[in-house]
Amino acid sequence: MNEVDRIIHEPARLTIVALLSGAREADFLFLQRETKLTKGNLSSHLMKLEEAKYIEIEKTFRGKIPLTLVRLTGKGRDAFQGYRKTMNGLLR
Amino acid sequence: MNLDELGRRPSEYVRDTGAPFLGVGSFWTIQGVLQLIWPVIARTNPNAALTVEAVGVTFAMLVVVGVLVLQQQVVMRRTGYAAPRPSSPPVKLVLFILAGGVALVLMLFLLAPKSTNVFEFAAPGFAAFLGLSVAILAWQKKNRLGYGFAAYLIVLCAVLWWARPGALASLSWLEIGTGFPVGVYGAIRLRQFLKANPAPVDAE
Repeated sequence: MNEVDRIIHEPARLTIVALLSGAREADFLFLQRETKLTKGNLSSHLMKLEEAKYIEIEKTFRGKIPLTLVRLTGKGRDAFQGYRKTMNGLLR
Repeated sequence: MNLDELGRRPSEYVRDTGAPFLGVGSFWTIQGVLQLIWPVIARTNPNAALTVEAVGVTFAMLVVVGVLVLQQQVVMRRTGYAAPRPSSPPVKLVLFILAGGVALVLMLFLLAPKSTNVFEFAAPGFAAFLGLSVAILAWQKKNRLGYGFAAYLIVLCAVLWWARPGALASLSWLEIGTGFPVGVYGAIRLRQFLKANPAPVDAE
């Protein structure tokens, strides 16, 4: 039996990765709005995904307002597709 | 949890703001109006007509840039920024729409009376092609508004067919007739979106 990727398997992180799979990039506010997570919770999940190199985070400014841009890396995309394949295989 | 739905959210979100519709609709409306005015001015002063055309194209581009800035600075500052990944439409669907469109345009050209300028029928042919494409997309997405717009385009095709205002004027009216309702729809959606999402006190 194929191993399930524990990093992506967590529902909040799976939601984040699935959202990012449809975007070139998205900011913190968009992810917070879509996932309905608190700032702290979302930050900690993003950190875990960044540690696994599934996402890259760019901190910048839009005018004077801080902007956190998040992108799914190639590794993250592969991991997400692999996870979907594994889950489909398990559920069949 | 539907992963496909989540993956579609960034592009749905951008569409929900209404800004892309407003930008595209405004651009085509301005282009259509310009093409109507341009030949009238050209009859008396060709140089002035060229200036009007150049200023108009620049204005249309500025409107599109303005809508993009509005989207970035007003809409996405309130509700977040997302840049959707470009998705490739299903090849079969694209081929079907293209084949249908070409067949329809050919049919319209063949049906056109021999004594008239066939290019006058390019606009009704294009309207029918657009109507068919929108109808197929609406059927795929089960979108009632899409069906309505497809029906409107077919009516526009019939009006352009019977009115025959001339090849260039016909294309201009097609651009206005298509761009204006799309722009108005975008403006209404954008207004609703901004009303539903008041400016936050702190952005992040």
